[in-house]
Amino acid sequence: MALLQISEPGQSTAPHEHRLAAGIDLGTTNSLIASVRSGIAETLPDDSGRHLLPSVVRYGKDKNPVVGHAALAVQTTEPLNTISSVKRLMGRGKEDVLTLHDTMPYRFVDTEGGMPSIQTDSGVYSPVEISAEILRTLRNRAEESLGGDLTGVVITVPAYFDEAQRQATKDAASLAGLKVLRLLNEPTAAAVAYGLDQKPEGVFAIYDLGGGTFDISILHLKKGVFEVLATAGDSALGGDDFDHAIADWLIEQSGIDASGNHSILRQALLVARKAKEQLSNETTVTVELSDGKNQHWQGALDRDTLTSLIDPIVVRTLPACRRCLRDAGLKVDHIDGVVLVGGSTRSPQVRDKVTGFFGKPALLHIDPERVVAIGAALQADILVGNKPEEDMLLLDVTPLSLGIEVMGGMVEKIIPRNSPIPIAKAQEFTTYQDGQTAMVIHVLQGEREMVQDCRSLARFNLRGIPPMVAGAARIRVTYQVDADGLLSVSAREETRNVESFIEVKPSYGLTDAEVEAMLRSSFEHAEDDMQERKLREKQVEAESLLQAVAVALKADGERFLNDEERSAIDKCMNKLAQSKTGRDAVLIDQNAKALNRATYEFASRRMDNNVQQALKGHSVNEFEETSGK
Amino acid sequence: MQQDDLKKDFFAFLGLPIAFDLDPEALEDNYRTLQKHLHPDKFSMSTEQEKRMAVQLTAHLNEAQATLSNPMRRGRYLLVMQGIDTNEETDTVMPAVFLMEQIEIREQLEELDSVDDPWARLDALAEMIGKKIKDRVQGLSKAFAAKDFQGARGIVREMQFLHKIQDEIEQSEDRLS
Repeated sequence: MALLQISEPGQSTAPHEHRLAAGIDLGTTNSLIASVRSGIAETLPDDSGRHLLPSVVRYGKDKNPVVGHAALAVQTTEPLNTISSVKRLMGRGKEDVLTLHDTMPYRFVDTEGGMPSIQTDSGVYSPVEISAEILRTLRNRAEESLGGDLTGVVITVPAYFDEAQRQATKDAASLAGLKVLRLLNEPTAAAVAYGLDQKPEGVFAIYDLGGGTFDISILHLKKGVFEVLATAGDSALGGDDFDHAIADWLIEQSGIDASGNHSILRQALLVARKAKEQLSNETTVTVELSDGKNQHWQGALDRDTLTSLIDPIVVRTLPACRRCLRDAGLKVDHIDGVVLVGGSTRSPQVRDKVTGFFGKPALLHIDPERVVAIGAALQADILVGNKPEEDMLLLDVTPLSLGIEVMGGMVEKIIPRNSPIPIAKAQEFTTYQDGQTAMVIHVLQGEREMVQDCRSLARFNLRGIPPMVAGAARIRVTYQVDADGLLSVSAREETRNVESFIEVKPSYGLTDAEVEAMLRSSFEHAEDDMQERKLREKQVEAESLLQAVAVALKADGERFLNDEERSAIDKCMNKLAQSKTGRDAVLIDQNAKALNRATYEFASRRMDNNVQQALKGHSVNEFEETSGK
Repeated sequence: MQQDDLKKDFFAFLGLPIAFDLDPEALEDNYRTLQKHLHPDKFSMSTEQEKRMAVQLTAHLNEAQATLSNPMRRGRYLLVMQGIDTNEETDTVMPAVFLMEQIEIREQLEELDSVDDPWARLDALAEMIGKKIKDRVQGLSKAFAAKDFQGARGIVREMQFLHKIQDEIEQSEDRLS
């Protein structure tokens, strides 16, 4: 394990110290971790020099989970204990998983309200825990090769991931002990890798077909700003589907009875994947299937047959491309270039279809399997403060509309899809019955008009509405989406300005208590480690707060603070610095909160000044002069 | 607890003069410049306070940009600044000629499943609606220049209908593909 860095008491580390940061591509089939070293973003290999970590976890009887290549090696012999493609289960409910059951031959266990978990020989594990295991392996790899603790990471998610899927990913990261600087959309990450490398300007389509997810994003690149104009996709479509189509064909051709036989199904999938990969370079390959007893089949698969098998799946990506163009307000000929991302775009069939659709050759000089992790590493390096002079900026959008249930089971949209984030929108609603004192606020995500066709994200009970005649109350509901694409909802009754009680019940996400319980069970010496971990977290938080305030004071302290205000802040800083060296996590937390309160006015003045400064030289007068031409 | 900048009107926030006709390049330039100063990514190592303020300010900025870049929303916003409500929800009285036209367009959309080439029908409809909206943008420009706010109000209300049909055309496209 990497050693914790401790600076001398009372002395904060230099603000320009290089911090360790990484970008993680948590993929359906493979995962990667990358970091910027000596100015170059590169993916980090394991001890054997392999960069890709198969996203496979084996939970055997011996309790210690095995991740990656070693797990992959036993998946046909232990199909029920070896979990692959867990990304497809993230943030999914029971109904979604039922439709996936054919493609995911595991023993599912119902859990209360949340995501179904998987029964293995060493116990029951949720998709979040399984993903955390993969993240932990990547974290260890990075901390060993970089030689220290990671300050923070950027984790990529499919742009078309919904709220529950994003939240589940973030939960997995905190379970793995990672500080998430940002959830970054995969196509946007790929654009960053290309954009900072080549500095192209114009409108680009990023076509990202991974193992289990498909995204299409259209970005406008100009002067270091990466603006996503629109995104579309399918979070349950990918190269896995190619494998299944090929495997079905193999089983049919072989005549072997595979129904209910997990081992043969797994074997067929492995043969399918290998054949698919070989057919990127060859025109025909030999394929074999055996039931391990008396049946053995050998045949040939050629590229034409492969094309006919996967073509219907590739074609399914085109309507999303059309919709994305339309939402961006563009026509095909506005696109200056196409970037191909994801292992599945190695397939010549996919390339032909995509370049044919957009009528432009594809950019692919960065390895399509590594490009996302590299982009994430570049963003992480900037977010962690290692490149203060870099003026790159990413402007992303929310992929799906967010709405609320209204009378008649209809969905009223509050935030439309492809709105730039962060965004906050408020809308007013009223009561339906006389004397109504409570209201259910049902938060939904999706494009359809009826509740049952959208994804239910949460239900809030708003209580304490003053009794009035129907239609008199004014309930103001505010949706806010942050830069990670995560939603928070609040509601209040306005006519009498009554603060109302809000109860949050996430439909698929995990509650904080569940995350904590998992954290606890994941440590052997639960109590001690939990305490130690909490203390360390608080110490690290205190340290970064002290640093941030110190930097701000140095820059603007004299300008915006009088002596009295300054000494109040200094006092809080000293208190926090002192408590930070001790072992009282609660005290550190209290002192950190006090410092945050003491700096509120200061922060506010700095932000106001920021706005003034931003448009200096872009003044109204100047605009009028130039527009008068 | 709110910052001063959040109280500014959208034009002032984006450094533009209050007018219906605006320079789209100036809007885009100022929007991007403000984003470069205010986006939460610029504050990832700052205090929680500053992070929260950055989220609020960029949310406000995005709303301002979305409002001003769309002519109908810009028109409605200017009317609200004049104290004029467009009341789309409560006041549904529209000119008879306009309503007749709307009914015809809707019928054409409903027949979609029974025509030989639904895509051609949709393209034609989309083009027609696009042209009507364009005409109204010019109308709004003239009305605001002449300070004819009631005239502008009528046009904004018609545009609301036209945008709704545009949405329905898009939904039909999604359904067909």
